[in-house]
Amino acid sequence: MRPARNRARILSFALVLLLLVPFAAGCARTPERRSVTYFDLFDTQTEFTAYGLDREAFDKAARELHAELFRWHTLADPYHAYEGLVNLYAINERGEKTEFELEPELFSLFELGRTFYDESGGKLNVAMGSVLSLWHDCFKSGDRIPETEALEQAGGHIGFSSVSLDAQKRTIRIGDSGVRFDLGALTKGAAADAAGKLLSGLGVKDYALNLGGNVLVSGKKPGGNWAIGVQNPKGGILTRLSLCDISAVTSGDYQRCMTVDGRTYHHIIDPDTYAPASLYRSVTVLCASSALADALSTSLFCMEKTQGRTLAEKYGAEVLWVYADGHTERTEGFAAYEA
Amino acid sequence: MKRERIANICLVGSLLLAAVLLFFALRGCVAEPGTQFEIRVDGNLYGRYALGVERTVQVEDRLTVRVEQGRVYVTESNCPQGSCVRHAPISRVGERILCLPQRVEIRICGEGEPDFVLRASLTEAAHG
Repeated sequence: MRPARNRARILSFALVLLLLVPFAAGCARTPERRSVTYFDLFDTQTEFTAYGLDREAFDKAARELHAELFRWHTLADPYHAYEGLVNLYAINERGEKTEFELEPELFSLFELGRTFYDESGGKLNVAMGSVLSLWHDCFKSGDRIPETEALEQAGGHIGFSSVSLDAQKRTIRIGDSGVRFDLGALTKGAAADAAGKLLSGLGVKDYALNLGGNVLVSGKKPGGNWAIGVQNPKGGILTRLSLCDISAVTSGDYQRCMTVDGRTYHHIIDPDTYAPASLYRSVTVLCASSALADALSTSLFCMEKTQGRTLAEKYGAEVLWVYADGHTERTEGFAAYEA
Repeated sequence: MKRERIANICLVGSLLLAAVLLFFALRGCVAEPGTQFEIRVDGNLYGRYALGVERTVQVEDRLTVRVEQGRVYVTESNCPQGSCVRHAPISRVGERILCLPQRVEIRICGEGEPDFVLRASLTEAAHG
């Protein structure tokens, strides 16, 4: 009798265990992943993903995050005016005015612009808005390129030397009335850093922020590091990165281009030639600071590799260069992040 | 008695094995089988479709998506610039077509899909 009763007991115990398995399989997937997408920032798609937050905490973080990013968006918007705000549009459409007191965020972008103008030997130039807007108009129509004469005329007004910044008064003074600014190469990175500070202040640790290709990851997800693919300019994924607590930014020639008379033109303009830079298909930069990663990727896209490598080293950044023939080169440390 | 014990151990052992197998089988079901593509509208999932089945998907009054021979492309769109229609067909995990004005994203998903794909930033184009 006893063995049979024993067996029945074991059997029922095991059956209960078996019934619990589906729940265990379900529970094993927590902590929960939450995600939100925005379309009204920086003319791109923004995704925020976080683990381990309940609905209420996530919604609060997302609201504050959006407000912070939207502030950066409006300050660096070259196309629209916002009431009561001195933003990039107001500065570009300044008329006779030469001096402006700036919001701290906007001032910091100009300071970063000046730093990288010097560091990159003028290859990153936030003061070449006049040249860029000529190309911008052509990209819009898609059937012509700017006339050489117009480019050269605009190119006479891209010197950052006509700009002076006063950190104490937080003012900018612009000596050349022809200078127009474009902060597109810096804003998303600086905004991502500010967003990162905000999120860590809210106690959000494990998250990823993707501002249209400008990625900032913090902490980990349940399976380990964040898995980031680097797009191959020819399609598909070129390499995979395993990242935590770092920012990754790519500059490339494949996202926006147009074909005129059988020749393809892309959108990253070399300040020395007023034409699209043609050294690489893409440059990917990894750096703790997203602002630096953003500034470096644009700078390096227009710089010879040796000079670019020296500049990256100075800021502790790792780099992957992709050439037109498909071959790649990378800094020693970059490979350590490849999965 | 001894034979009873062996039988019990075998029983428990096989049940535990069944539990382990069931655990992984169920977790496997949760993951995406095979390669598919998904359409997101306003950031929310609109639909997920097999890449291997030819079909046309009308995404509200925004755009029309066609999948053919494992390749996905946009045939018609109500956006002003139509860059989504001009975009080359996509077929590999991680590739996507984004129609920003209409807030529609089409992306290939499946095994080996990373959390994000680093693409050249678009707003440098603003710059463009």
